[in-house]
Amino acid sequence: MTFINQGGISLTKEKAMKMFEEKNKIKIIDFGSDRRVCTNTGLKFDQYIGYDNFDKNINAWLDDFEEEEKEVILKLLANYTYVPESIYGGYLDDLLDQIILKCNMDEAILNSTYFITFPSSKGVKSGGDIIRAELPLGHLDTISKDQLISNVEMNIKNIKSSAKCIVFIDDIVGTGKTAMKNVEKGLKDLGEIKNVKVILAAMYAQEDVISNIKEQLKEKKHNIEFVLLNKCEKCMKEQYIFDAEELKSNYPIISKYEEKVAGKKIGIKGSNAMGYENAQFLLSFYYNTPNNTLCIFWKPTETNYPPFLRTSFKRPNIDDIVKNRKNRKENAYEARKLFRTKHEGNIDIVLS
Amino acid sequence: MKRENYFELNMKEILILSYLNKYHCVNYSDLQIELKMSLEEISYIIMDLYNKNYIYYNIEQCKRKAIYVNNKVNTSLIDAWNSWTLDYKDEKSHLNNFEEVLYIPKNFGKI
Repeated sequence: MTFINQGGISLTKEKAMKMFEEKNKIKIIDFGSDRRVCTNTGLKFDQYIGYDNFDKNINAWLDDFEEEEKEVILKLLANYTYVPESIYGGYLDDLLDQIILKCNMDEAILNSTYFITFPSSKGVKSGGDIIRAELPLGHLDTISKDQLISNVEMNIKNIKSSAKCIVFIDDIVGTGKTAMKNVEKGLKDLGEIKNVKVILAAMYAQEDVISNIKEQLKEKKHNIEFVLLNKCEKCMKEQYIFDAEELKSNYPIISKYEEKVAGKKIGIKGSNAMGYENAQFLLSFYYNTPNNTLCIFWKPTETNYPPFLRTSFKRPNIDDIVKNRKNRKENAYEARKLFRTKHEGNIDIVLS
Repeated sequence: MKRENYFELNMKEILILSYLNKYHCVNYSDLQIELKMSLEEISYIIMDLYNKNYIYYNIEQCKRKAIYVNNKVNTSLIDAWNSWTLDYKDEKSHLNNFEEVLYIPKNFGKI
């Protein structure tokens, strides 16, 4: 059992995991990462949070943090949002309910609603692919495949002839740049559309990002409504996880590890330290982790064994991690010896 | 109700119907690995199965967790999802190989 005690406050790994379960309304024992076991036992298959891998992965991940700093990291884990597949589908149903309300209609509006997803910038599997597959499962009676659009240009005629509602939809709006770019392009491709409600719907986003998009679209005379299901906060926002006093001492700890794993300083262009463009998310979906999330949770390095690995990365073998750490310590020992014989002084080699 | 000839369904559809008959919901992470099919292909097949009345919702609330197979599908085909799975076949072939390698003489007990 990992037990951390700092200034009289203690948070065990077990307690943090319990808080993680409570926050996300899930029980780890209901999930498994071994499909064969899941098939035979009725457990839900999940690559990240199986009863058989989550605890081990968290242990391996925690190993690289200094003992006295683990509690800070565990507090992040306790406040982490994880969306398994079954909940993801439910959230999409909730989003559709809100869209129906926005249209002041009944469920029949979905028959003439077109859902436009955003393409991935790198051409890999994206939230858009997942949404187009998951969205119709709860609405097979109202949504057909022609209404699920990944490329507006190729479907203009179809959309313009029968759409009463057009929904730009994504599971996460991070900085807002991708959403803004895609909504603008979609509207430009569609040209003039009359008597059609246009909505931007997001499962997760920060409120100020949505306000910013609203402003920008308003300035450009686009009449769009917004549906946001879950509001995100920056994890370093005062009073969200840490109070002002705790932030003073904890921010340097977290940013130190973030910059180490990202390999870049916070604020530098393209840096993932504290999440891409300093978004400070603590969020993963069952199929991937957005890069807006703190990178210690998803980016593997020689020493970081992240619990919510991004699918574009290959998780290093746990034996390799152990070997790397051992090698690092041996190297530091050898280096120390070498320095001592050469300089005969007291020097300290920092493990990095 | 008249039962349709199961040959009207292709093997991919039968596999998905078997899965739905067992779980009544869809876990794409599981299905994608098992069926080696893309998300899009699986979802299109499910939508087609619904349009052709092979599947239906059993309740009005939380419909995605109550997808049932219509009784016009021959039940003997879809009763045992596990027997279709690659995992099951791997396990079975592993057991078969084991029996082939390990020869047990009939008079083993007398040796």
